[in-house]
This record gives sequence, C-alpha cells and structure tokens, in this order.
Amino acid sequence: MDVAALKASWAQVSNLGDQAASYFYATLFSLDPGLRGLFATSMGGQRDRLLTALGHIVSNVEDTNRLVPFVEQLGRDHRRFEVRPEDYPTVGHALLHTLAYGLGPDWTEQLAADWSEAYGIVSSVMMQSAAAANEQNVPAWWDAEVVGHERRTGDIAVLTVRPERELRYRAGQSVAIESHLRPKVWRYFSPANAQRSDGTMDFHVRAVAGGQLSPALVYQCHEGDVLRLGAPIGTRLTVPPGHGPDLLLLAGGTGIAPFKAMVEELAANPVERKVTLILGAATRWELYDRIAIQQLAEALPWLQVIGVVSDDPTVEQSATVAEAALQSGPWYDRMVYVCGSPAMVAGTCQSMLDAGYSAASIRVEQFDDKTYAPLREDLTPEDAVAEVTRQ
Amino acid sequence: MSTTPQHRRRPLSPHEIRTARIRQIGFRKGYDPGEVEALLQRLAEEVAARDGRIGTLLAENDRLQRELYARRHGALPANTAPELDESAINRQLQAQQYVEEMMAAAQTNAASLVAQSKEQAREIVVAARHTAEQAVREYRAAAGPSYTADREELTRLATLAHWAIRQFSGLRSQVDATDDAARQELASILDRIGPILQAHPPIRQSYQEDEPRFG
Repeated sequence: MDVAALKASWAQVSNLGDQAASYFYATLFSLDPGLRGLFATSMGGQRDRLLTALGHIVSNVEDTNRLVPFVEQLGRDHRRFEVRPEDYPTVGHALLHTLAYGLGPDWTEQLAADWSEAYGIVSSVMMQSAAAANEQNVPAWWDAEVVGHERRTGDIAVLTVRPERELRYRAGQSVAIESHLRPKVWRYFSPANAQRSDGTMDFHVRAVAGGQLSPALVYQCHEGDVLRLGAPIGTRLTVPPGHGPDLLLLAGGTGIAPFKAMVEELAANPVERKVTLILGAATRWELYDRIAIQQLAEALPWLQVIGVVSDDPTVEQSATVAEAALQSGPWYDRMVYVCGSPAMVAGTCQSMLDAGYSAASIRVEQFDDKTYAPLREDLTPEDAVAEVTRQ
Repeated sequence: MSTTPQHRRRPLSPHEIRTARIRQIGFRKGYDPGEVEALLQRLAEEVAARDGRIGTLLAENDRLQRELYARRHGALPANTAPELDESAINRQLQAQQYVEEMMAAAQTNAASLVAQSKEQAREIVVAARHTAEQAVREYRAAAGPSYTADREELTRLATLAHWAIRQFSGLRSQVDATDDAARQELASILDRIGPILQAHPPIRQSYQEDEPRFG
C-alpha cells in the first residue's frame, strides 16, 4: 500500500470538505436508500464527523498502535447507530466512488486498489470489534426510562432517568443521549450525580434556542419516555483517584452538572481535598440548583461555594465566573476545572491564562456534534478558546 | 416484545434479541422464563457471530471480485457501477440541500423567536418593576398614618403581577404571529420539494413520522 499516495489523495479530496461529504452520503443513499433512516434529518454535523474521523484514520494510517484502538472504538460505537455488517461494503463502495469523483483525472487504478485495501482492513477491524462487544454482552446502547422531569427555569429541566441495565461511569464523564422525539440525533450530557445504588442518573438540560435535541428534552419529554444512552466517555473532567492537588471548579449555568457529581464522588472518597466551587449564571433565577448546592456545602466542610450572577438588574454586585475566580484567588496550587457553554468556557480559560495560570493546570471538555467525540478527548484550554474565536 | 418499537423495521439485532421481553398473559401455562432467557442469550450470541462472519465474508468477496476483475481485464472495474446513477446521486444531493435549508430556516426562526421573547420578557419585568415602585410611592403618599411595611410590599407585588400578566398576554400574541410567519416560510420550502418528490418516489425511511417534525 502506498501510504504517501493515500495521504496525498485524501488531502486533495478533503479540500472539497462539505461538498465531498455531501456527495458521499448522496452516493450511499442511492446505493441503499434504506440507510438514510440510520441518520438524522439534518446531516450537517454528520458530514463534519465523517471528515474528522476519516481524516484521523488517514493521518495515522501507518501508526497501528494508535489507529487500531481508535477503529475498534469506532466499530463498537457504530452498533449504537444500528449499522449491520452487510452495510460496510456499501459504505466502501460509496467511499471509493466519492474519491474517484473528488480526484477526477488523478484517480488511478493503483489508488483504487490501495484505498480498497485500506478500507477493507479498517472495516474488518470495525466489524470484529463490534462482534466482540456483542459477544461480551456490552450493550450497543442503554434504554433508560425517564422517571423524573422537572422544569427549573423557562429553559432548563432536570431529567432523572433509570437505565434498564447497569451503566457504570465516573463523575465528570459524558454520555450521548437520543430520544424518539428526534430520531438519530445524539448529544452529549454529563450526569449530575455520582453512581447511585439504584442506577438512576440526573441530567441538567438547557433548551438551546434552535437546537435539535435539547428543546425536545426540555419541553416535550415526559416521565415514562424511554431515552437511549451511549457508553460513557471522557477523561478530562474526571478526578484521578487518590491524593492530588486541591480543586477549583468553575461552572456556568448547567455546567454545574459534572461538578455536582464530582463533589458527590469525592465525598465518598477517604482522601480529602479542598474544593472551591464557583457557580455563575446570568440572573438569580438561573441559579436553578442553588438549594441542593447549598446543602452540599453545609454538609461538607472541605467544600466552599461561591455563587455569582453577571447580568441581573436586581443584584448590585455582578461578576462573571472568571472575575469571581480571580478576585477570590490566587489559586495557583489548584487544579482548575471549567464547564459551561462554549462561550463561557472560552472566556474563562482566556482570563485564567491571561492571569498566568498554566494551560496544564486547566481542564476542560466539550463534546460537540461536529467532531467524532473520542477525537476531542485531549482538548486543551487553548483549543477551547481558539474554537470560539474562530466562529 | 416491548423493546421493538414499530417504526424500526430492520431485522432484529443481537442486542434486541438479548433484551427481548415477551409479555406474560394471566396465569396460563407457559415456558420456563429461565429457559427462554437462556435461549435468547444463545441466539443473540450466534446471530452476532454469524453477522460478523457474513460482514467479513462480504467484504472479502467484494475485494476478491475486484482483484479477479483486475486480473482478467488488466484494470479495476470502473467505479461507477451499473447501479450507481449520477442523476440519482444528484437528486439525493438536491433533496438533502432542501432539507438542510428547511432545517436551517426552522432553527434560525426558533432561535430568533426565543431571543426576541427573552428580550421582551426582560423589558416587561424592568417596566413592571418601575411601575410597581411608582405605585409604592403613591401608596406612601396616600397612606399617611395607616402605612404598614406589609401593605407596601403587597402593593408592590400586586402591581408587579398585574402589569406583567397584561404585558405577557400581549407578548404571546406576538409570538404566535412570528410563529405563523415561520410556518409560512417552511410551507414554501415544502412546496418546492413537492414536485421533486412526485417525480421520484420518496426514499424509504426506517422510521415513520407519527407527528410533524416542525409542530
């Protein structure tokens, strides 16, 4: 296999970006119209995810140690999207056709053979890992009944769900959620509680204006609905067990969820760490979970909670989370975790970096719908800032 | 079979077989649940193993056919296989483009509707607060010796509530009007899609819509 030629041809096709991805899916659905039903109505994010995942595979094609675990995870994950083994050759066919379309006169028999071989290897690794996961009884997804649905503000709801089988996760991880209200639209949410003995999980959901899934979860979802949950992922917002630095947790809005879980998990841990949680919102009403947080702070001597509002005319002192953090600091000996909207995370990271906090001491994690999620597991605070600035 | 919603028409997956539940009716004689469970587990494993093998074989077959073709003809098959028809691909592209347009329009409308409503709600609250403080000043001026702090607070809250309720019902009718405009825009996109769908039967979906997506 001519790796250099493979990479060069991919670079040429991926330059077409969205156009190449659109052509790929159009070809795929012409080959097998039944496959359209595996995807959401809107394909925008899907095209981005395809390009990022394929790009990652091509750029690591000779690094088997990195590539194989990635492709295996891709294979296990695709069970959640209800892909059958017999769909793989169809996808390969559409991929080769797209490459031929994208390369035009540069498409050669040799390239066709190389790509065909590469796709054959990747797809068989995916199928094997999917079959292995099925044999090991690892669910493709967890059905989870909504057992509680409480609107806390005009656009925030707290959902409590009960997975039908045990779903083990660490505080700070995220799970993808899908609802029959918006088929095939998966979005990541972080549970707001540490693992409970009855297995129930709380999710804090804000209805993003014009969003695809979150408004359905906030306004249309009811108790008794069954959601699907994907396998938990994420490592950046988890606290390594054992001794370690004290923590500064900076939360904006529903970004409190993973930190609440983290505090609960730490409370069950014999090793004590000092934790300062700064919780911010636009107005007092938006501090929708303050009662529960206050109760935690009263019960746990090592936990300090500071609440701030940034845009409330009835409150005299307004501050952003970053301003409150810098005023109440210094926190140079702490590990800093940031969670909130992309704008809040970017703004907060920028302020902390400007104030001399090292990038290595700041931990962030955001799973968006534009990148295949496992590729975002090593997001740095600088990346988070750059992404928002670019938009 | 509680785990198989009607809209999913694809063959049962190993996971679905494994998690299948068969409803029990009354106290009639039936099968030993333990044995049923064990049988389902075994079936799921066998189907999973077979699926994996079928997929590998299909991929291998695909590869071998290409290789065979290449050896016989000295060239790989043209990648535009007979069933791949560029005009069908173009129709797919166009259909998806319309869908994206419609989704984008719906999302933009929803976002601006929410933003406008929030802004207005905020203005209403500010104005209501202003009116309430004015009512309180009037109460103070008129109350004289009968003044109490409780009555002042009641006056404030009552004015606030009255004002806000009146204003919010105005806001609601405005939201409805914006919503109508959005529906019209979406309907016009649907009109444009209509002729394409009539010329070519709609693509098969593995789920059926039981409610309109833009309600």
